[in-house]
Amino acid sequence: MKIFLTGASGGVGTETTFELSQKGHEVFALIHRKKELIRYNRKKIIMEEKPLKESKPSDVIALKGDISKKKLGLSDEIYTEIQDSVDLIIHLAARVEFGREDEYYTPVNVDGTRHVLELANSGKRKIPLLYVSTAYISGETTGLFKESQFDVNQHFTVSYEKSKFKAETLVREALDINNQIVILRPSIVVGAAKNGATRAFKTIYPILRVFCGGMVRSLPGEYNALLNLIPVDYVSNSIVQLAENMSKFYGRTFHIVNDKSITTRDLSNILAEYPSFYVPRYISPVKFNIDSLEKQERRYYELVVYPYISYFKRRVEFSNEELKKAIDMPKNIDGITILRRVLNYCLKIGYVGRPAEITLDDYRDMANDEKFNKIKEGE
Amino acid sequence: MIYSEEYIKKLLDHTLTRVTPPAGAGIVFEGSIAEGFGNAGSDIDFLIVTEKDENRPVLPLIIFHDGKRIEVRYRAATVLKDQLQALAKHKNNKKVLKKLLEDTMNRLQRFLHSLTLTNEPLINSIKNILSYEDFSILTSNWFKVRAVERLEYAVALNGLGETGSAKNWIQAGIIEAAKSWAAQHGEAYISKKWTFHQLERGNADKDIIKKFKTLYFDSDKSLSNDDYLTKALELAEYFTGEKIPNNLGKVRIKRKINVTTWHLGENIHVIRDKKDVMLMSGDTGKVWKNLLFETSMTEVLDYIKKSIGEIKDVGKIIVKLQKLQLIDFSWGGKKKIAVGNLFDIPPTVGFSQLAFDGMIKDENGDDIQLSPVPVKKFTYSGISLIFINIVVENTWEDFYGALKNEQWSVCEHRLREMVRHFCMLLLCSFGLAPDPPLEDIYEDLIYYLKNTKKFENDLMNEILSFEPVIIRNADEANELKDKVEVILKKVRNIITNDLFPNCFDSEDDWQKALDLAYDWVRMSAYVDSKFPVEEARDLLATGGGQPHLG
Repeated sequence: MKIFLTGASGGVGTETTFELSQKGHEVFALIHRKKELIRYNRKKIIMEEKPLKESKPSDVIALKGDISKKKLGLSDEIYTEIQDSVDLIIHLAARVEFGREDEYYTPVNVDGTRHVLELANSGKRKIPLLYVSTAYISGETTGLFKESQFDVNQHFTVSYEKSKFKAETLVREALDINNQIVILRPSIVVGAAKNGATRAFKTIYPILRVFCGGMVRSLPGEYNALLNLIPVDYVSNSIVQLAENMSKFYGRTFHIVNDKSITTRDLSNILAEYPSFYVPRYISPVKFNIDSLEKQERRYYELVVYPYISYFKRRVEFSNEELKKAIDMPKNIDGITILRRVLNYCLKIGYVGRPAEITLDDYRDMANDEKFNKIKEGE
Repeated sequence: MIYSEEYIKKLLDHTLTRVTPPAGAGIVFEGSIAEGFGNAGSDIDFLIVTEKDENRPVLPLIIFHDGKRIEVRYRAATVLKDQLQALAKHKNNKKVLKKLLEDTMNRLQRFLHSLTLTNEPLINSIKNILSYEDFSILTSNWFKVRAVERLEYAVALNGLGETGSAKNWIQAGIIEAAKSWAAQHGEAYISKKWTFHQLERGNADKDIIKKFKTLYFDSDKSLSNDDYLTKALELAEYFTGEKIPNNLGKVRIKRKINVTTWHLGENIHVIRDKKDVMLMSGDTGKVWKNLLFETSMTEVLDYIKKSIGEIKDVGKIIVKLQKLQLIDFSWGGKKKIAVGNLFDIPPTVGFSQLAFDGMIKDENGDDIQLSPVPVKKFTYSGISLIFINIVVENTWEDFYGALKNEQWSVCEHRLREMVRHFCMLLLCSFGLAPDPPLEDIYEDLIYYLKNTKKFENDLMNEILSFEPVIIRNADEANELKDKVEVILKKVRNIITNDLFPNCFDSEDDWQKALDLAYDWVRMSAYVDSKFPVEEARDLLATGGGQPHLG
């Protein structure tokens, strides 16, 4: 298959690109800034620089573009060529870091999705689209959130989630004119299943870092809030399986989530397993007083933890029955084991647990993964 | 053999006048003498192999005859068969080898190499399961695995500065290595007492035996610790073919899952196996907070130095943490080094145990203190301590309100309640958190605490002699209040570590108390201890400001 994929340089995007290419598909990878694709295990994906016409099975051809722009910032020629030639679009590109205003997310997450829908629907023929959303479009919903559910009058406190909800709304509306659409919603994507390896220190990572280092020692939270962690390779694996069997699933939505969420209490208990870490105290949310934090702690709190704070209160579970019926799911690894692997990996590469080696600059840019990507391949 | 087969049979005949084996049993002669070692003082060992598992006692039956001590043991054929079959199946599996007990190996070797005296068909049907040659190879590998593990541990100890302990493990390692070589040469006898004879009988090089003796008995005092270890490792390599580098960098620290670290304020508490609580302070506490897992030990030491500076005996501290089973060592990050004299420390006793911020440090004690209070009671008492203190503050608030409004009976009631709370605080401080209702709290206090050192200061008498007087005016109310305040101060001296403020008179102190309460909640959540959490949480939720300042 010829597949056009957005967000190829992200954690899930890189893995998906790799797996598709391994299976002989031709991947036209839309890349915004990065020049190379590096997998979680630090291995580079070799990219070809040649016209799309000349692509061969297993080729990965990089296309520089910007989904926030009309026609994705591609030349007319390439845009048309994609519309004429590709068998599938996989839309992954999104801004995922938290803590920004709506305006930050809209151009990429909402407008970007609109532009991708135009690509799929405005050519000579409609192109099948696999859209990657997030399970957390559930917003502040409590209880079980099913794959069949979407708009349940949920309330949003996180701009990222709201933008993804809007984007999924656009995709659902597009079903009227293009029924060849499948939606996949991952939960919180973390490192690889077997060893927690990652090269994208986003989502939960900056939080783990400030907790472990004792930079933030109090936050408003409950002990029974739920966090659902899913390894990056489980997400990419599902994407590839769905991509290869798209026609069976047109119009459907799936959750790629862990069977077993962890509680915030599990998080506390697991952090305590590492002597060098600090364990945050969850303060009753009605009682938490930000003024009680020291100046430095408050800065870290506001910068890193606050954007995710509602995750320390929420109790939402996601069902994944539909996906389990649809594809061969790898054996579930419970959230506690995943978290331990994630922490072991972070500890090994010095992302957490070595305060003496982490500079203030490192903390300022929590999502900066460059420092940790200098580690040699295969380590 | 020092005795003839005939003489052994005579001894057996005599034995059978005293012992009646079950029908169908077979009898073998085993042990040192059967092995060709032994001397006139050695025991005569008979093993009666019963057809069925007869649940015979493990202890041998002892008979004295002709100046000899005869020991008679029983073993069921089924047990021997099962063990030998399992060995035959897993003879090349290192993991299985590592788990084999010395006692099992000893019993099997003695049996396989025994002299059959009766019921040859039964005995042979068992012996044929695993040939003695195969058993010897297996034994050699078994000794090798043990030697390697001991020597790896010795490398760790030596590198970490525990040179005395290291020597013991070096000696333990090289004798296992020598036994491995001996078993390879047909000398599979398990007990170590005849090792040198076995080497000689196995035609070991005389120089090697000499080197072994010198090292084993540590008779060359000119060797430095490092040279001693290096020579031992070379010798072990000769014996086993396994090269173990004297390289501390190969050793790593492995995390133990059931060991967790909790801060109560700034005090580091470690919970082991959800049972024991330890307080870590001083250099040990600093080292603990800077341990890196799955990282080479040399890098760990460098890191500790970089982050907290030069610490005396840092290596010895790490060894102590391993021996206390708070961490494991591994070799090359793979297998756990499962040896070491694992020990425990005696619990700290003799004075109150708990303050707001955790276990009370014995200033003359070690950097690691084990609380005699089990963890669930510890956390329950700790959270109760904070909770009751908050109640005390609320009670003051009531008192001042009543005083202002000249409600004398309320004043009196509040002060009397206060003193009951003091009793509870003291009991909590000893890990004896009482559950309400507390009608006989004074009696409990006397019963549990009257002989305790900390009460030499008459605090107990002051509490017990606190008989509420009838308050009729403001002067009497204030007089009684002053008396209660004096007692409170003394009580708080007991339930307060030096680090923690002695009163709740400022917003800062109050905030610290709240933070501590949440620290206790966090620890309690881990051990699932019962604690007055709902009430405590309610109070914590409403208690941002100090109530009586209000």
